[in-house]
Amino acid sequence: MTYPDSNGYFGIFGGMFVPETLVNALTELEEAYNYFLHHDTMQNQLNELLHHYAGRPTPLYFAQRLSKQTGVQLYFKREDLLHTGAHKLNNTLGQGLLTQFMGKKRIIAETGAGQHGVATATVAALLGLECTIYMGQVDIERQMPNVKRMKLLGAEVIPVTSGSQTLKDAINEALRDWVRNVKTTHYLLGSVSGPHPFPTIVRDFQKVIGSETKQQFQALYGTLPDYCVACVGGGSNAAGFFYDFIGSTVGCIGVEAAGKGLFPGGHCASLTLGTPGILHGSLSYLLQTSDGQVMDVYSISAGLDYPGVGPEHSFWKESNAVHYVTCTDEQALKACITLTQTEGIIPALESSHALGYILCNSQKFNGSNVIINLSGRGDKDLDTILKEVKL
Amino acid sequence: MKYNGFYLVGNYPDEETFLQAATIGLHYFDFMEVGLPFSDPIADGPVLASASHKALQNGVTTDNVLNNIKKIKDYIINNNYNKKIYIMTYANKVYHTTIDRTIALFADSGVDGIILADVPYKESARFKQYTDIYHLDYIHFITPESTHTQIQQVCADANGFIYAISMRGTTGNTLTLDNTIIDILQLTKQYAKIPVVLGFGIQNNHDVQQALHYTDGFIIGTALEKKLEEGLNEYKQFINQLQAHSG
Ligand SMILES: Cc1ncc(COP(=O)(O)O)c(C=O)c1O
Repeated sequence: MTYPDSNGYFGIFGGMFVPETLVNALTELEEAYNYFLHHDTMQNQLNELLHHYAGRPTPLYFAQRLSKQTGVQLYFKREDLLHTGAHKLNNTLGQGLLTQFMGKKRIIAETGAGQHGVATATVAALLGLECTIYMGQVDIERQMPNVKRMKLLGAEVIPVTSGSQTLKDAINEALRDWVRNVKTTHYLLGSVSGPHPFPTIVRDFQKVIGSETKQQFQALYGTLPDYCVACVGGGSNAAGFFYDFIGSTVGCIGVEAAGKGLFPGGHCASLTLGTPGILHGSLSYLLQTSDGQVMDVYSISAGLDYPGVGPEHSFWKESNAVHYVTCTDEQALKACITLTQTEGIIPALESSHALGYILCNSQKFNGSNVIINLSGRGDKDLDTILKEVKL
Repeated sequence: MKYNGFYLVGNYPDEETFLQAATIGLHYFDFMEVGLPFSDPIADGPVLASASHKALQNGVTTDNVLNNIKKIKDYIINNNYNKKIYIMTYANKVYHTTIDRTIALFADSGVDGIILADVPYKESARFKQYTDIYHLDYIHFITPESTHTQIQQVCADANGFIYAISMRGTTGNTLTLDNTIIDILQLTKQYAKIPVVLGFGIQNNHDVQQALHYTDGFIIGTALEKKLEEGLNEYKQFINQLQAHSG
């Protein structure tokens, strides 16, 4: 059985919980996507762009010094080397071409860390589309380099000042824009969250991360790795990385942000501490109060600072296909600095959570082959990182 | 059959004002929609979204809204009114402790039906299953995007009334009835066996006249909530002159 089912459900999770006005647009998107999937010319166009424009395949790098230090055989899938500096471009190139195919001229997107916003603005420039990005005011302040990049690329960046002024509220505003402009606009959603068919489309466009990794590792050793580890915000880099390993001998580990600690308001570990709920179009694990309100959440990393998670991750959690764990701000920052100073790679704070978990538990993984998805580079986070370390 | 409704955010701006505003509204309107505040109201524009957020900051919960709905229901019964109360909210508010339990609580407080802003027809079955058990109405939507087949489906399944959304947009926008929506309203009227009520964007007498030209009634929300934020007198005057113009 492949998921989702024809109604967009992964087991009990998923669905299409949106205002009635958006339903036909989502159906149209699903049809366009199915056509796109089986259309040779369009697939070739996407593959050409992924190769010549984005720089795929990205390297699989063995970190010799860090491996020696930790006793774990550590590999990094280098999505940080993809054009624009994160895995997000895999998805925006795909959905950008879909937008053209549907004859729409305008794209909108939400962004937290700004990486999805930059990747969307980039594709808008490349394909000649009008582009509006919604971003929480709190995130604008902590990811300023990306705000400037988006503007330089020609996108309009709209600050969102309602609610917690982070990713969740940016999605609310993007959805409101989409309801108003659904005839002309495609909502280029940036993670495996949201209503059906987004969780499937985004996962599929990100699957390339895991399928390349599998080939690269097999070419080297003729076997599979022991573990694949990725950070989980909405869950797109993790879903794309894990997908080809689900059901194999490989242990898939998703790392959520434990922020300042696992108390209410201190973290955003939806799968670890949430309960099933409905937010932004899908039924999935959600951090919520006893009265059914979405909880305030926190992470040092803007890309993980979100109370929900994509529905397929909830399904993988319940079916034990993936193991979900957490990493605090402090552990992530420490991992970020360790990788920088041991291997000369400055990782994004999001990706640093995946490494942070392994570094804190290196005993458990002693001697194992562990591949970490380095979902993005850390240039955007320099201000935050430098606040924490004295140079 | 005339069927006009008004929307107020539950227990906002405070419980006393909310209760008074409810009784004033019920003199004139046929039904009341009580907004059960949710933290992420994606179908609402700035006025109602901000009212919901303030309500939550003031500590509004499902329980204390239902308590006041009980009082409003008593008021309706004591005055021998034939008027209905609907709860309008978002899916998670009904889903989070189990749909069965929430709908049972709603029914117990005397609510006549529910309206879920982020539940489209294709996801409605899991909710309608329980509104049927507790004999509550489940309200479906018609929108400018609805196809002929969808309109037929909704009209066949609907109970209570049919909520026609006037525009592609959130609450609080300006009403413009273009040809697409007029065609859709006429088609809906043709198939509907219950009242068709136009909502989103109704702000003044002119909008009311337009709505009543094509449908059985209108729902007014944002414009009324704004008046209530000015004060109960402004709110009352606004309703009085709506009444004078729409009979
Ligand atoms: C580098 C990087 N990694 C991870 C994420 C988290 O998103 P997801 O969980 O969808 O991969 C983001 C989001 O902005 C990001 O920029």
